[in-house]
Amino acid sequence: MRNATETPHAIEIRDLVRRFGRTEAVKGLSLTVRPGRCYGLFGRNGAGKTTTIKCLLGHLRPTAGRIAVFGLNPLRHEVAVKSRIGYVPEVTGFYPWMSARSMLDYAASFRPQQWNRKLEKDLLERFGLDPAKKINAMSKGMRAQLSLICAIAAEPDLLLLDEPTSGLDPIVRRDFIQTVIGAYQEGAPERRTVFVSTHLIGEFEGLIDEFTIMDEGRAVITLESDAARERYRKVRMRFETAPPAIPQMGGVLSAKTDGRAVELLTNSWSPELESRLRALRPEDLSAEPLSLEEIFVATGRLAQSGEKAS
Amino acid sequence: MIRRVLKDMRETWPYWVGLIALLLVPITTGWIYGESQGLFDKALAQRPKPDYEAIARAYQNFREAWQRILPYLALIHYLVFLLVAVSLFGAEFKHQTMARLLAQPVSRRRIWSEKSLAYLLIVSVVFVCEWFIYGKTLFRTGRLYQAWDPMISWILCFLSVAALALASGTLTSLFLRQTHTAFWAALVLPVLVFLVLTAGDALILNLVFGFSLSDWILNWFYFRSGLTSIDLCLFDMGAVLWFALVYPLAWLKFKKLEV
Repeated sequence: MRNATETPHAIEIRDLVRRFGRTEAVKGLSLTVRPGRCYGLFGRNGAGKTTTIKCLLGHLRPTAGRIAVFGLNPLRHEVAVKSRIGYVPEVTGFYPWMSARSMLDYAASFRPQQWNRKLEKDLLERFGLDPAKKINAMSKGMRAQLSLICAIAAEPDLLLLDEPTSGLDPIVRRDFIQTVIGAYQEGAPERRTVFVSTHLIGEFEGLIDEFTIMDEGRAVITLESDAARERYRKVRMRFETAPPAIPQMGGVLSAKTDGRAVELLTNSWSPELESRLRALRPEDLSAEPLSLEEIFVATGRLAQSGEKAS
Repeated sequence: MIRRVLKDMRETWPYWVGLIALLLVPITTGWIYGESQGLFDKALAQRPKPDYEAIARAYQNFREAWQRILPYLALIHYLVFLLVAVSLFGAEFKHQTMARLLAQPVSRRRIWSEKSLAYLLIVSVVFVCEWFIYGKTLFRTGRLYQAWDPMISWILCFLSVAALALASGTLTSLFLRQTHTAFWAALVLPVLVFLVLTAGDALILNLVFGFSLSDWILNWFYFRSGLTSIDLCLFDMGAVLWFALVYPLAWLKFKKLEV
């Protein structure tokens, strides 16, 4: 438990439940995001990611549970919370008759004290966006870039990104993620927090410090990225002859045999597991860390098989 | 704030600028003034001893033309103000900008106030233009004749129309989350409610008390004011009542709106 003198968490969600009629979109989600972190909320379509972000913004009222953004309730302290948040929605809706310039001026009118004109200009130049260009003449990628400038130029403490790169081509995506989001956090790394919801996990691989994987409204796992790469491993073993039957071992998610080779996925890589595997006397054994995307896929399969079993 | 209010005014400009342009048509074609304008000018040129008979003829011509056109003007005003009111929030849904708007660090009360202010400014701009198009002439004829009753009653009527459109348009666009169906719903909603109330009035009050409540209010107003026609008076009262009921309801809907 935190005491009163500690800096509040950027985000604190406890037992969040959100129902839409009879459908439960989020079922008891709990997570904590410390300031200065880049946090990923991963999950398939319909996992409850957008609902969670909307609850953080106060766009949806939680059915049950508690949400705090910088220690404040987003519904009760509407303006105080939102003045510290920059939001990039999944759907990049704009007023089509506006130019990029007038859209940025409109966005700046909500936060005249916070708006950084120099940063806005830098970002426009970096993306090669013409401020005079009408929004209805812009491509989807350009609109996403404009949406990001609208969120970042106010220099918020918390950047909420809801599927920011879906539908963008790989070049725009790379620009969007590496250059801009990375640069945003570098500005004040101990203060600026990024909370990104996506299913295109590979794109955010190098940026994410910690993540939660959601499935059907529940948090399946929450891990630090480095710890995840330590624990989740793809183990390849090669045997001289036909491989022996792999005994039941805790933490082994799957085992696949192909001729003399065996490939295991584990979520509990440790020296003990390694020595148990070496006891099977493989000719060769290597253990590679999984990428976040592979962890996501493995966890998703595990969650599915768990549901089937239950 | 000014930028945001101007944005809302810009969003709906085709409707209200179109209305002003439409109002210019009778003037530019000379339909409403016709011969009366010439008679006015001739009579006024005879000061200090004007030809009162000529002025009376001119006033009569003008008044008849005015009375013919006003009901249509009221209807056109209602349709245009309704389009504007529906677009205040409906356009945010149409452009998928509502989530972005609500994520900005201003309270919902402020968003609501700014949109209402934009509407008020639009209505004011239209009325000021109308004053320059029609009002000055009406005022002049009224001053000459000391009887400008049509103007007073119809100014009240147009204000009622503006209030009615704002309340209905805002409520339906927030419930239906778009503009087109909201417009049609807002158009028929007051009519439906009026029909239901009339039916209820006839059934309950007539049966129980032997007289209609609306008859009683109507007569009271008629004797008290004497300024407006009975139909307009009833309409104004209905519009004010509607606004007082529906506008707060629309605000509650917006306050609790989930996107």
